[in-house]
Amino acid sequence: MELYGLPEDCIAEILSGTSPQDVCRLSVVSTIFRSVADSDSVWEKFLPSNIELILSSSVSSFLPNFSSKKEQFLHLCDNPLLIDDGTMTFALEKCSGKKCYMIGAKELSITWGDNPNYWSWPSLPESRFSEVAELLSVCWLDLCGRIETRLLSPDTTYVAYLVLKLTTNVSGFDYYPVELSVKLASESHAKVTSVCLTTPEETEVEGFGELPEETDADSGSEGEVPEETEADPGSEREVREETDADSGSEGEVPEETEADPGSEREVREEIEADSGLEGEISKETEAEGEVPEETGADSGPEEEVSEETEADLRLEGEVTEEADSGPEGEVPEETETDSQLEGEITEDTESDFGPEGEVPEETGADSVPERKVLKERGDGWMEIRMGEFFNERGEDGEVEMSLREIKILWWKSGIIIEGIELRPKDNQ
Amino acid sequence: MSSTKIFLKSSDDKTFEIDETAARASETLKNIIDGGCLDGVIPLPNVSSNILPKVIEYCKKHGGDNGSSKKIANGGVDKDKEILPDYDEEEDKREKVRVDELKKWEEEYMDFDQQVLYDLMLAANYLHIKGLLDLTVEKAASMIRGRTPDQIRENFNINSDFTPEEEEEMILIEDEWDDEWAFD
Repeated sequence: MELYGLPEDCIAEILSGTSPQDVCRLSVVSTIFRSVADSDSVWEKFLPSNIELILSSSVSSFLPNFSSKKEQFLHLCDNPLLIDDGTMTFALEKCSGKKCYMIGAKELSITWGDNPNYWSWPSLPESRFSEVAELLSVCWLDLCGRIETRLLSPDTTYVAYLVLKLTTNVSGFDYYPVELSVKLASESHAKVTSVCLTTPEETEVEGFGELPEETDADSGSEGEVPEETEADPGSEREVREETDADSGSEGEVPEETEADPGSEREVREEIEADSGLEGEISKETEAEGEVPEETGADSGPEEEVSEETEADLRLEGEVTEEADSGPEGEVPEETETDSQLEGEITEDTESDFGPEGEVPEETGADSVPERKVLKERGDGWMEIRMGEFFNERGEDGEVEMSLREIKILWWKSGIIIEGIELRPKDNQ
Repeated sequence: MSSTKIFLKSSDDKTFEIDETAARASETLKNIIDGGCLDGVIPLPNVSSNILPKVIEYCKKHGGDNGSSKKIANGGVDKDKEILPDYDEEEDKREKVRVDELKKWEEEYMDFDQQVLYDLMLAANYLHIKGLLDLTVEKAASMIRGRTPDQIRENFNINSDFTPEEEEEMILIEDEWDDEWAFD
């Protein structure tokens, strides 16, 4: 008796204990193995048990007639199926047969996503969805996607990826980090990663590989990364850093910067940063409502400005929170602010103007953010890993994935969000 | 406490004795017993005398329950615990020891060659002994999982019978999957 002499249901049982990849390997072993390995009874086990339900939620009227379960399986691996009124796509991971979903941008919660000054919703031929979210300009970046874990394959570690691309106007992402996080409803804390986004080309061009971008650019001093300035009280440091950032225009810093005194921005941040620490500062800071130059450039910022300004005014006092306190945050406090700032700060600021600043060790606050290079996908988009979670039995309710930068409130623009994709981690 | 004895006759006419409680590990036997069709000896024309003792050994070990160690660990026979008003740590420890023992037993029990594996799988399939079927299926799957086609040929002692053209096509398919693997 040989393996292939077993009844078909036994063979299907055995092969379903392997993986689609194993079964495809098996099919090249010998002709008999191939006929076994191609049988519907085997491939049926690799299709999700609720596949019919999933197919019925497809919005595409055209679904090929599959001649076999294997063909159907492979089709679903390579052709994500648009489901649920076109808000999500469903696919299978080829090696494991596990479920993959992508939540389209339209289905994400994006703060101010409906304000045409900040976000626009173009249709792109390379998108699987009818609309994608293009970030025109915003300080308060907060975007979040949710999906019910019961939809996902059980006993599987999933990795969430933000799928996006950068436009030619991209700015504000390569120096200050954004926070990526993934959190199950059953967990009390999200796992947060701070990353600066870079494309492979940028990296090459600028010649800086990691963290210390600006630094190298300018003074070539030590390269700590600035981000969470708030953390440390010694305002100087942060100030410096930012300063360097701007001053060292080459690298990351967006063109405008050079154009304008560049100082405002930094100032602004520091301010916030500091304000996070000492309360006084914050107020003044917010008070001024000048729009940051760059921004002005892009969007029709005026109005917004005013609003925000007021908003800020209301903010007073709360230190740290400003960041969190909602959209207003974006408001650029800069200019006057500086002047009002406490002595030290101002000084530093000025001092910074002098481009080289000694570089301050990093503020320490949190860990140095990773500089992550966006990875090319095969579909014309790029992706960045947001985090992972283990889906045991799908009983953890929702999983929430977010992209945020609501601390430093640097102006950011020029990314296009396709969606958030969930895929099983490697081959499990 | 002794329970009723049941007699099973193999395909080659040898008779084996088994306790009724043990026999109930098999859905097929359970149905025969419950159906009152018990008429002295139960003939099993699909199970040889080489394999039947092995089947009986499994049934004895698993008495009334129906699962492998894996199932037990996952709470398959955890009814008792649910009834207990409060969580008994000692009981939990004993349970863990029991599961570990069972795993060890299964390991030794499953130490046999491929021919026995297939026969045992067929017997478990025929007698509807879920736990035993799971064990044998898992063992066969482990001989395939993560192996290259060459390793699989070696494991199952077979030669490729593709024509040279087919062989070439096969290699392409293989590469495609390997690329996919690498991509991840």
